[in-house]
Amino acid sequence: MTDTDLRLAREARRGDRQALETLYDRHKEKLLGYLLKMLGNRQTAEDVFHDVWIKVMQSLAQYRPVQGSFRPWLFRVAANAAVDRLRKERRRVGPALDAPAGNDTSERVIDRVPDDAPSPEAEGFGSEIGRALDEALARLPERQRNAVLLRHQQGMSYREISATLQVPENTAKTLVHRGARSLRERLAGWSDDEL
Amino acid sequence: MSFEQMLRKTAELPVPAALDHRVRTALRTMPFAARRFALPGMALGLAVAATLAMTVSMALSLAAAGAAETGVWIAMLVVVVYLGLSSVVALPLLLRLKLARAVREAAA
Repeated sequence: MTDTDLRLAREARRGDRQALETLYDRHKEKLLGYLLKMLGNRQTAEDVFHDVWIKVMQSLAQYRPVQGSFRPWLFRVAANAAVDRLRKERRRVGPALDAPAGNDTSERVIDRVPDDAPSPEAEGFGSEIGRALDEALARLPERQRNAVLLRHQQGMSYREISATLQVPENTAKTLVHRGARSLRERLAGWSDDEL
Repeated sequence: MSFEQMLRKTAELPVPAALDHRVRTALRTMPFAARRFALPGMALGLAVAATLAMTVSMALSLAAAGAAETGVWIAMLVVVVYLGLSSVVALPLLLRLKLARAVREAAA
């Protein structure tokens, strides 16, 4: 897989559009799956997905196969685009989503935001559990969420995660372990059967 | 089922036809960004150009100062020697850089 990707990436760098399209076909579904979980919203994930491929096309000339295989490079572009989008939206939204909404402190801002996320059923989950996992993911710090998704959703090795997030391998391991521990704690209410 | 297994189930998501079409159109029609020059090559090129400009300006100054033919010939000689030396040093260096990159890419 990696050898094919490297060959295709080299050809695409030389301007071969067919090779670029083959790369797109090889990675599009995984990339969209990752972006949806990273961003938690279908519309935003699709927007970023489009932007990522434009960026790939614009920066393919700077891609050096020696820096690693194509997949970590592609996901690095995607991770940066996703984090940029999350920060932009956070600035636009204003108050923190966790902040109390009005005088009623039991209600948070996030509870008043209309939910336009895809239904968990549509993403292949039972509704309650899927929502719980999405919420737990959304509460993780961006770097931990990234690391957990790359490891447990995309099945990357720690070496690939380190290349994607541009952190040392040990830091990648720490991010994955901390993120996974937080997820387990937040999902502790669900029995193994329900999960 | 653990959360890891749940996440694995979401690893791939079919791309909606409209989005797929939009991306493919962009990939087929957008111009590729031009390749940037590598930094070492650019630095070397700049150094060669700057030294050459200094040598030419020195030759012109000598000629203007009335050093007449001898001065101009000396300056010309400096330019030729400089160009000869730089091609002996710079070209193999550039080739080596390119070769080293090709080897690294092949190894990867």
